[in-house]
Amino acid sequence: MNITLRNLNVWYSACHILKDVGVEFKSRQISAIIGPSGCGKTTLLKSINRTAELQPGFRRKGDILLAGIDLYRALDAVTARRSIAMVFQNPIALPMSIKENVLFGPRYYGIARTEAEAVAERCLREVALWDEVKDKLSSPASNLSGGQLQRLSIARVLALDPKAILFDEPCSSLDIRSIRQIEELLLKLADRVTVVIVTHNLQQARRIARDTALLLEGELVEFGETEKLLSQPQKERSKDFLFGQLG
Amino acid sequence: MKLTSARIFWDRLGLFLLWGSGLLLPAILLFIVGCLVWKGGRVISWEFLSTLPKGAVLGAAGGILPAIKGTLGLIGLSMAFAAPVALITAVYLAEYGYSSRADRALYAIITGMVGLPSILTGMFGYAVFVVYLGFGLSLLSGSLTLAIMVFPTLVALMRNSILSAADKYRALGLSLGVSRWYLLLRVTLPAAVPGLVSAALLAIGYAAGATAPIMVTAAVIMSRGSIELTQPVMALPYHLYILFSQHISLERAYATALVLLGLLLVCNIAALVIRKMAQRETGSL
Ligand SMILES: Nc1ncnc2c1ncn2[C@@H]1O[C@H](COP(=O)(O)OP(=O)(O)OP(=O)(O)O)[C@@H](O)[C@H]1O
Ligand SMILES: [Mg+2]
Repeated sequence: MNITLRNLNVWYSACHILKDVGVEFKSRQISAIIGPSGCGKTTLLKSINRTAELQPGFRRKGDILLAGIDLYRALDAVTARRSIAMVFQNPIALPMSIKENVLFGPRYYGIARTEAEAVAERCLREVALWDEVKDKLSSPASNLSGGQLQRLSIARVLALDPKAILFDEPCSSLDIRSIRQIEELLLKLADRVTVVIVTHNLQQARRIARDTALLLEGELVEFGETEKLLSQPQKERSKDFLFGQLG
Repeated sequence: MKLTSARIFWDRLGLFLLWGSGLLLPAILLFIVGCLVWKGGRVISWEFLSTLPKGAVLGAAGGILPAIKGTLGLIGLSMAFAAPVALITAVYLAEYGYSSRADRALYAIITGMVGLPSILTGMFGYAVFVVYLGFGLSLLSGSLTLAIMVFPTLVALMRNSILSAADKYRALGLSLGVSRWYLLLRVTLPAAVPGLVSAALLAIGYAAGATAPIMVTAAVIMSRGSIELTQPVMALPYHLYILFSQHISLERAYATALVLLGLLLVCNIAALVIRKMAQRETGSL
């Protein structure tokens, strides 16, 4: 299901963070968002996931559509968040067991006792964590390593059965092996859900994202096929940023 | 940089002061306990703990059982009154506390009450519970008065521990598409348990040692140790105060203080166990 942004403006109090952003993240592929620190990437994802509105001073103009349905008008926040899930930059373990972390959403929506085990196993298998944790499902999730915790966070949103998943720099604190693992996982996920990833790593965008959006100071400067955008940027501002990044 | 002897001197002095101030608190505590044991330890016996006071001047001989029972009753009942209401208030303040001016005012009033002299609470309890509501000098009046005394402290501490748990998990929790209530019950409150237990413990210590408020609402010099809502009770701090101020027996006063301290120690250990269990359950720190 496509995610469409139309003239999206976001303010935090008096700060105009996102300015007239219009873009379409297509279904069944990975789209990347790149841009310098502070340009509004996280704010963009949080606006789509409808958690930005939890910040005091949040204000929005413009629309965000999921498969043509208005996220802000046609859905309530809780349903919207569940449909477009988000994985945060710093993985956090909820203060409960590994299994209960995965089942956090389903237990709220209501899940049959008999299904719970199966759902937890399916989601943990999908993120390739099952073999590592199957013997300690009821121990606290906070004992996991950074890479494992990031995969647990992904399993946790997979259990929501979302239509799209937004990733905010999911690899920023991981080692090479964990990064490969996550990238493979994202490619696999993109077979059935819309995947949007914020990344600081242009090579990563190149490796996994079909489309890439370049955000500068809250404005969407360029959007298009990753390869083309990275090798032949159209605007001067984009060139400055990209060539600065590549060194 | 060269290590001059002056530098070494200042380094050593700094280290000494750091260690010294760190050791000061345990040293004071040790001194107090040591003093109590030395002066009153000999009196402590099973008989002292399990019989009624006796003697020409009451308390000069015999035990302090009614006072132990009375204090346990006052603590238990006052916590039963204060803790649930304080928890609900703390949750409200932590979840909605900064959304309106009225809530902020409520919090300001509650924290302002923390430092209220306990004799004032006692006089309030006397006027309202003992006289106006006609509960008389009784366990009920005393417990309600103590509950009011510890309430602001409980709320302030509980609110803080809930707030820090809420801050940590709110964004993530809500991003998973659940309600605030579910988040509160599944995540915030369990994560706050260690802090809540500490708050309760502090309140228990506060209530157990408070003398002024119960003097005018609940405590008597002698009771047979029956614990009834409408009857007055003996209490450890009050008994201690009487033994002390009437020069009945200094040794027995120290022994009574030791028992009070032991009671708090037991509470501390219980709290430690609960905290450890909660941490093992949730994996939080
Ligand atoms: N709650 C908030 N209130 C006010 N301003 C905020 C808030 N959150 C973020 N901002 C501001 O919004 C701007 C964009 O922040 P955002 O976190 O979206 O940037 P980012 O592109 O994700 O940066 P990074 O790459 O460092 O993560 C920044 O200037 C930041 O200071
Ligand atoms: Mg960010």
